[in-house]
Amino acid sequence: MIDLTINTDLAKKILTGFIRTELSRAGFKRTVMGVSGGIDSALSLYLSAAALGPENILAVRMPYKTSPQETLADAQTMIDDLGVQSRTIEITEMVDPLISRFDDINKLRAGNIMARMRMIVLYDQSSAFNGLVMGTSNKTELLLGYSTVYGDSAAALQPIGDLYKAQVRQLAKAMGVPEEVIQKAPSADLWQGQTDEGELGFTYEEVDKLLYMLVDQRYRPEACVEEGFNQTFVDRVVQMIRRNHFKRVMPPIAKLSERTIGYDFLYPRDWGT
Amino acid sequence: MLICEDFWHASLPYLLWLDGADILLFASASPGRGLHKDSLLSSSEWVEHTNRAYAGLFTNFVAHANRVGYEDGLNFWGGSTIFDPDGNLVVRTPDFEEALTIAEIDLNQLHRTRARLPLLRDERTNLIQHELERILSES
Repeated sequence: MIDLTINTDLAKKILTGFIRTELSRAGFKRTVMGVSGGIDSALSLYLSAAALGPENILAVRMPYKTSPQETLADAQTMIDDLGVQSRTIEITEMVDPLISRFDDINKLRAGNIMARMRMIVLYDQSSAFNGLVMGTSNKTELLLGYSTVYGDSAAALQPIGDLYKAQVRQLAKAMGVPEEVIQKAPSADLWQGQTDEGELGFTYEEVDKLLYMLVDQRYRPEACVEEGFNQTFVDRVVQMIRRNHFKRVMPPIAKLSERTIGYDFLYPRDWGT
Repeated sequence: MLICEDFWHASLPYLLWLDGADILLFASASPGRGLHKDSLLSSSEWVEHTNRAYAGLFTNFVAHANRVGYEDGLNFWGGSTIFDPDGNLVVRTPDFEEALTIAEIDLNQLHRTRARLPLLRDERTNLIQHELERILSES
């Protein structure tokens, strides 16, 4: 019996403490974050507001011309609800010139360009607002590699990166994220009609359980099949985890010297603080 | 006194016990892991069970101080405890908060518990020594 239930009080306590401590250790008390209107950025926003106070949050809405209005409106509702600072910076006129240069552009490339443009906007606002960029990636998408490297995966801190999507939903509910945001079909909103589950070809409910077995409980893939998971599904997920590992680590540095960054020059990210 | 992982190897608290320690002092920077539906992290619960077991099995006081805070994504839950020789909780500090907690312990309880449950007196150290030698010589 796989139970992904979490104690949301404990999660909130740990994650708000993490946000406060890691920011202050780096010499910051403010954060900048993209807020799409989806559940992941909503949860990061509510946790950050609880940790730092709404006045120290800059929530940035970055719609493209095809972004759904209702999602943008949901983002605004949460911004108003929490009383955080906010800006809306449309990315259409920044990304369209690049997209229109290529006749053979496809949805994936265009989507990646949008995700990376949002990263540029956030890191620029980070400097202007004097706040670090807060990440919004959850454990499910980090493991599956369902993200744009140097796009939505770029951040200074990842407060919800160890919560599966099902657990994100639980904590979002406990934190007071509006019900319509929690219930909405998850989507990267990189093109119209895109949904995570449609694109992935399986549901979060199924894959969260499998990932929990494989990763948290260290079951071998064949043992997951013995436990009742479909062989093809297990093989596909294992391959996704492995093939996308490059998105979760720094690029390899070719070792030449006696001491090399990443191999034998290893320190925590908050080293010396 | 034992530090961090050393006190999770039962052999070391055991040696301290045989060496006459009445209070086992443990200090750790133990990272929290295992968020489930319970109000304690799995690691915190496990450490508490273990310390309680040491107190009861060795009829000793066990005082454990654990770090609080965060480092590179890891959390340290605090939750320091003292258990008495019956394995009862004397005091527990809050989780995830710095605290100076003072508790009174009655060392006479060692005598009372050990008179009722003379585990230290009855410990067969010669047998342990013999068996350890056999195991080590065979490995």
